[in-house]
Amino acid sequence: MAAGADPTRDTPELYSESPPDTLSMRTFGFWLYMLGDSLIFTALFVSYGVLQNNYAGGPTASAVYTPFHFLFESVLIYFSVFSVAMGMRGLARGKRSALMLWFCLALAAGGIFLGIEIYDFNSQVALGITPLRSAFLSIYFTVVGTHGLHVAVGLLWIVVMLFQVGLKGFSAAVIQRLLCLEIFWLYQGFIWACVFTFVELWSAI
Amino acid sequence: MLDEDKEALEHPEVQIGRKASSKIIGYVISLLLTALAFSLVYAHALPGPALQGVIAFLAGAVICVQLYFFSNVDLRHSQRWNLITTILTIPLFALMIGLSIWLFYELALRVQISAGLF
Repeated sequence: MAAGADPTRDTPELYSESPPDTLSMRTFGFWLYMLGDSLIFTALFVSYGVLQNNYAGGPTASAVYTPFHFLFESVLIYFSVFSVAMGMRGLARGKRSALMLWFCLALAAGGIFLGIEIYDFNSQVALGITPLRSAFLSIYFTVVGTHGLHVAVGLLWIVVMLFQVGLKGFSAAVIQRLLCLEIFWLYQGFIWACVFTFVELWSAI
Repeated sequence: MLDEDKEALEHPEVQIGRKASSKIIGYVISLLLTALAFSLVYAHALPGPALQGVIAFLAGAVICVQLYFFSNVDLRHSQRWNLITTILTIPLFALMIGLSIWLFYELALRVQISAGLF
């Protein structure tokens, strides 16, 4: 038999001539990072579960929450995630203008989401509903505020990517950042599904 | 356009997001599930613990729907490790939440003057 081994053999490939697929590896690495980031929220949801009834004579959950605002915020954040996914479809088809249009819609929806949250926080603080009032209010502002902070960072990221796509086009580095942004924004939708259910809806039961 | 840019644009990670229909379906299902959870709670359609279980299930469904339709995490070979790592993180979430709540619940019972005040 010739020196060459049987090409159909099923052994692991220990050495490969082809360069590593950095785009896949970095995207997967960012996926793992976001799974780790979710653990922050796990810790916060645990604290919420422990502290949610510690009103210390202050306002209760039903006095603080505005259910229809939460519902409207859900529509907005899911639309924003959907828009970024549609923008990435523009990337797949190589259409810069489609991506920028959808990202602008995502930015608008995310901006309104954050605006409602800030408006709610402001009107609560004006009524004396502050994080200092009780353990329940501390954890409520921390959970919702941490998610809001993530959304704010994501919106900034979308703005930066709009400029980069506009100025640099679809270069390899820009495509890598867009893939990571899509993963980041997707996770904000997941976290919001948990905030909406376990913070707002559960307390209304 | 540089070769590496062209390669990145044709990469499976990018091309996987080509279908518009799956994204629209994902968004519509997410909205329907959210509206269902909200209206169930609004109408107090079930007794408390059952309702909590149902809407927790609906939240999980929203996440699965978005994972599948927006991010295309499925059984495809290229997406396999995303799926495996996500599924293997679920026990971490469950252990952290379940054990901590249990611990603090038992602690609260033991430090009350009379058990049952909690």
